[in-house]
Amino acid sequence: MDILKLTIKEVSELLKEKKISSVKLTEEIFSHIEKTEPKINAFVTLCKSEALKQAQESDARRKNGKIKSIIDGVPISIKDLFNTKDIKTTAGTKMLEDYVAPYDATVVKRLKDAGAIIIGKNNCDAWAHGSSGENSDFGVTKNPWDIKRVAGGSSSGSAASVASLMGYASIGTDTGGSIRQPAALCGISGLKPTYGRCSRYGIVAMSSSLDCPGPMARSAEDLAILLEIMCGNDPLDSTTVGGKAFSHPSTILRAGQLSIFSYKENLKGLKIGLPEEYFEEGLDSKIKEKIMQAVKELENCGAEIKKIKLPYSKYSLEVYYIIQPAEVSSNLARYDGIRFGYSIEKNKQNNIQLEDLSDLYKINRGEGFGSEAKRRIIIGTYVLSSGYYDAYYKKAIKARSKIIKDFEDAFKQVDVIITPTSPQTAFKIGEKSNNPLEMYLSDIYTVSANIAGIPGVSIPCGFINNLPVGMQILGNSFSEEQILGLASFYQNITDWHKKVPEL
Amino acid sequence: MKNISNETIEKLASLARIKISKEEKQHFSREISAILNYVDNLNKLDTKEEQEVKDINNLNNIYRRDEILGRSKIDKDNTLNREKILQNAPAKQDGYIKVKAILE
Repeated sequence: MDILKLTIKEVSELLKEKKISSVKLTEEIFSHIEKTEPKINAFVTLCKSEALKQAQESDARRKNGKIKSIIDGVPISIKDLFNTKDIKTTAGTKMLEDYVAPYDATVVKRLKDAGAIIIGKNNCDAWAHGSSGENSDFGVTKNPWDIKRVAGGSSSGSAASVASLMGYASIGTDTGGSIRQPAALCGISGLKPTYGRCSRYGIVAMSSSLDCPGPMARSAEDLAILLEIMCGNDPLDSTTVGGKAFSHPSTILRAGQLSIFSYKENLKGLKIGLPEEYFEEGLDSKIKEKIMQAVKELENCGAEIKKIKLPYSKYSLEVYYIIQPAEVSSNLARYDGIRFGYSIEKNKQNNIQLEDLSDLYKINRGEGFGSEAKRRIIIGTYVLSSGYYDAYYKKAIKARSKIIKDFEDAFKQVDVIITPTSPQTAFKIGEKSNNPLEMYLSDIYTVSANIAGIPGVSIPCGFINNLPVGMQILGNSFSEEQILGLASFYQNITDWHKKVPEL
Repeated sequence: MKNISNETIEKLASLARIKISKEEKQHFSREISAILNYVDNLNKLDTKEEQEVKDINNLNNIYRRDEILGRSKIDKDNTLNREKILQNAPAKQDGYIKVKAILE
């Protein structure tokens, strides 16, 4: 059981020292999954035989001194939004419940080429639409800290599986907070990289100017290890920006700590900004207390804390809930049941008389999509339609530039920004599911990073009534080294990230 | 107070090629009106002088060679063959995907 609690860094040491084989490790994970998964529902698909085969190959490579990377032989899982070759890829939706991916997403391929063992595909809100996991067509994923509560979303299964030790990491996606918020609610570490850092090729697209694939794991150091493997220019995604994420490849392994420039012993010279708009009256006082406690610890280590303003961030949710549904309505247009996905034609018995092709589309999409997807498609269609385009979509993409400028100005005064990740700890299943607008407010602290394209990491910083609280560290574009470095520094002086739920 | 009527919902669903039921029309009308009311807050913001954000990282003219990537080193294992592409299609014949006629 103890071996399951380790970080990627720690377990890879054991593999290196031949204290355990990848096959044995994978078997332990699946044995744990057998006991734990029925309580959590973090997976749509488990890939035991494929994983054991990959583990055997990893052990053979290690025997011949030919391991591919530090994650060679380490079992991880992938959110079901990523195409994984020859493995069912559902995106959490009935529309794709039979879809077997004919190819690997680029980041999946990079992880496989690095020797990672893929143990399964994680449950998520259908189409990544959600902040709780309750929109999945495969049942809600439970929070391992309290199974009557949500795991957060949309990367619900990813967060819950890592938190409950069913794998050492998971790869999720973050469009409005879908990596950071579930990470916060489940007490793990999750990184939304800079937009364009990691390829979106092969990921079921939600909102193309906001989507970011990213790692979720039990330490900031593990996030860095995974990011380094996932990131980089991809000719198949023309929005990717090339290059490695870290100034020196061995940065992450130096002395067992991430070194952030000169911040090895203390944080002298680091300026941390606290935006007043994120700490206003509406914020739960207990959550504020945890964040401020964490900030004080960093201040005690020499960091300078500055109050800053992000005046246009108060429009982030409005901008997000115009741009995102608009892009969703476009991206989901491809699901017509002709080349793949749900189609009434699959059921050869049915006798529905169709007028024409358009009828077929309407029925396939009407039956295949759930309420939340339809809601977002309809909103998107509205804000893009002629007569409303200027008032909504054009307005939102202009407002977006003000939010981008807010952060550009802020990062001239400070190096990083700290905020709460989520306005609440994990809420009860069913508490918000009848009110879409209330659910959308869960994203209030996370969406601005997607709008601006900047990176953000959420790490655990305490508990309220045994429920995890997450702290978010935001940085300027392409500053993952700095935000992960600070996160890693914090994890060296605290142990919130080491806590494991009792199941 | 914005009110998106059932008729508007019907029209939008039709544009998006989605068949929705009467009940759905009613609750969507309610929920979407509330959401659009919320985003109307944006009208308080003056954006006259702002640029429209069309791309994030100021990338321009990103090209690649017009060739099937499977033939290059980059993606040898990842090319799609016909069988794999067709495996998820509900209606196929002779190696093609079958669709309803759109021309007489």
